Amino acid sequence: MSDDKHVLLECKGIMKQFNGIQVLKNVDLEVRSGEVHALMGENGAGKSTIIKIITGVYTRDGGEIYMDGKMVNIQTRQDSREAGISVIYQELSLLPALTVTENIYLGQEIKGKFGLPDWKAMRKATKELIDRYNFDIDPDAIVETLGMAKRQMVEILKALAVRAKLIIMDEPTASLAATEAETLFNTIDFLRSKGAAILYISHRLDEVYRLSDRLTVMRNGENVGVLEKEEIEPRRVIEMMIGHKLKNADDYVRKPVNDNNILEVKDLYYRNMLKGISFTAHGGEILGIGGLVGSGRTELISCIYGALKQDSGTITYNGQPTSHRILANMKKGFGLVPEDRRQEGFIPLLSVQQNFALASYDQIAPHGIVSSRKEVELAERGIKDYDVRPPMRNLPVGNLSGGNQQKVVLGRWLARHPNVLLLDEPTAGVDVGVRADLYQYMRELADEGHIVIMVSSDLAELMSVSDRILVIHDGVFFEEFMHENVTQEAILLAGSGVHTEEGRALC
Amino acid sequence: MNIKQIRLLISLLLVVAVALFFGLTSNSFFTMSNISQLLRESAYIGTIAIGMSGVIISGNIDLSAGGIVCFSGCILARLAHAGAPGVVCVILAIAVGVGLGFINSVLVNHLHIAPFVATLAAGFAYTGLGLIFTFRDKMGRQLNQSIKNPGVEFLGGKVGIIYYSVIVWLILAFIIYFLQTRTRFGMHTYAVGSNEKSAQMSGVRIYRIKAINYMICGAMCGVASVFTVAYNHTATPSLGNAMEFQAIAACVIGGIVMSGGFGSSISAVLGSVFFMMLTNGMLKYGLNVDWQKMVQGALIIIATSFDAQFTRAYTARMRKKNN
Repeated sequence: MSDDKHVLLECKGIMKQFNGIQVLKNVDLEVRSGEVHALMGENGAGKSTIIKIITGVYTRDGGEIYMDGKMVNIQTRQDSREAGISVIYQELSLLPALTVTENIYLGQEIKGKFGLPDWKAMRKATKELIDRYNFDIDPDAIVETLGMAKRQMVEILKALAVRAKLIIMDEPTASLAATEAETLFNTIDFLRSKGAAILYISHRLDEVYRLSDRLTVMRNGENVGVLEKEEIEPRRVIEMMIGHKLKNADDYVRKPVNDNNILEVKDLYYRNMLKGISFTAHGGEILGIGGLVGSGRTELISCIYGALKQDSGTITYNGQPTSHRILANMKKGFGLVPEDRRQEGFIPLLSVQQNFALASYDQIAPHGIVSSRKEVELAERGIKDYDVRPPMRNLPVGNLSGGNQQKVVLGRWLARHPNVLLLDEPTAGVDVGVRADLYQYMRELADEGHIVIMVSSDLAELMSVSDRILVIHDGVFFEEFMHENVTQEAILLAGSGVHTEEGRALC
Repeated sequence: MNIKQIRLLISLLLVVAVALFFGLTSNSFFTMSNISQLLRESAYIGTIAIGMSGVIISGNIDLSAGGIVCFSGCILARLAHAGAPGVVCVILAIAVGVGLGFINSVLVNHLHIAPFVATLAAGFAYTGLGLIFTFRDKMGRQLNQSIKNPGVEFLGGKVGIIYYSVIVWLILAFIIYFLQTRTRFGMHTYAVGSNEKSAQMSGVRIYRIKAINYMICGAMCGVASVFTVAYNHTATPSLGNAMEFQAIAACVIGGIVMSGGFGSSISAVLGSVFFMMLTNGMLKYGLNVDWQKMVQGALIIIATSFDAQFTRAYTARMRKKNN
């Protein structure tokens, strides 16, 4: 096998600077044909910058790029495409109102009579492509009707349609549930067996572990090492990424729960997503909620928060029914860190200071008039406590990195010491170093006796952070796991409706 | 200096530059009477613009402002002519503005009509309603009836060269500026305009915030109608005509971003002065109304595209600096 694995892409000594700051320092990168090559690093390590140079979004200041041993001068996206490189971005770039075929051939239409696009030929070519790669997709389906996993397949088909030699995938599983991700992994395996080269960028170690043949780690704009498959080991990768040794985290001690702080949900129904959910959460514990994306997890916590109104069922906090209005629940000490922080979390144009203050104006502006002193104090304390970088309270939050934006959104609620903190995918797109911080803040809040409920698709996170895990399947809680004896397989099985020995069956 | 201060400074420099240009090239620009008239005219659209600023910052638009001016102005004129005390006339004109602003907010919040469509349609209706109240002769033709009402006439007056309308305008501008920048309501207004969903999730009552901004805008239209009628001693069918356009233009020129979340009532004040100075200066150069309209239209396009470029360049610079 290794004989036909020649070097496909080779970057030598790539340099790039922005405003006098060297963001890439002499970076080498090598991808062989027929391999899945992972690229890892914290946010700001230079991963995106080098990808953008390879794909012609940025022009490099120095260094050389070779494809198949020949030097290519990539200056524009067009150059990159012509060199045989395709990229699948985190946010998919498909047009939802068009069909699969139309999306695949958009901008590269097959011309028929009179130079008009020949849709018949394009449809046929799409069908052939789908058959060759064994995808389960209808070429005439409107993209809007497809799930995220299938949309990703369409993106891949788009790359295959132009006979890309190298496919770059930037966080492809960010919006996929575990089973959907598995489908993607199988697709990637299949592409690899057909000789395609894939450069795979992800924050999730388990994926990289599962998929990659080789792995390049970047830190501070430098290539800090390439690992062969047998050398890839999560601990080692993290240490290379963050540049120092990790503390041993296997000293879990179950703390007693606080029975004076209880959230109780009974027989909750919402549309056809929640079909009689019941559970009790206690102060002092981090309750993890697992299950597939779209299984109703987000709807469940939105109902608890008051952002959605359940069709039936009761939610009581310390014996009192909760409200259907966000503000009333906030006054009782509820807080929500939403799944989509860009859409529902922070306010991009407002400063770090105002974003921190947003949920606390009842305290900062008791009579409606804002106390500058209190607002500044709150922001300064938040920046210090949650290590927001850069530590500038007047900077619009839209200009921060994803991890720092999330710190601001989380800090906004932690500042209120919420009795019930609900978190929906709190670490999506957040890099490893910051994640550890976020987990610590959540644990500290729980240790104060408050209720922390976290929805997550990241199994490793769910397992390591939660004291107790409830897994949704088919609109009800299907199985309960304790921190001490949960495994990834068991959570996945429960999410697909299979009971296991590790868990306690709830239905 | 942050982006807000830089943008405000640009507006201020523009005002100074235009004033200097016309002042140095025309000998009738920096005269007492011209400055007096210029400020009075700025006050009309300026008062609407400071109300409009909150609506735009909260991510909406009020195209019915001219209609509100027409409606409340016509009612005011009728009442004043019938001999109602000045105070009652004024309060009622403003109350009508607030009421129509409230109707706008219901259309937008509860009937979920796009603000642009809702207020455009409502504006037509308000103008139509207003015209029912205009003075007519026995044949139904509209009359240029002159109002005799000491209270209302007083408001059309001036102290020194400064009209009362200008004083009231600037006081209101500062009150609204305080509301926008120093109160919870103001913070929530920017939050709604910048990201409505995030704001809602953080406990901001977004419908209430939008409604209050529409009502403030309505109230300002009421105030503008009071001063217009008080100065002209009459309410003509063309009252309020195209005023919403001029007020929005003033906001945009002053640096309020149409997509919301950026700017303040002070931007609107500077924009109004700039706008009226340009109109006034063009008159001095003998350019007629057709020319003025063309220049005003071009101005909005230039200001909008400038802001788009400006924010993009600034954001790009900040990103590079921080990453």
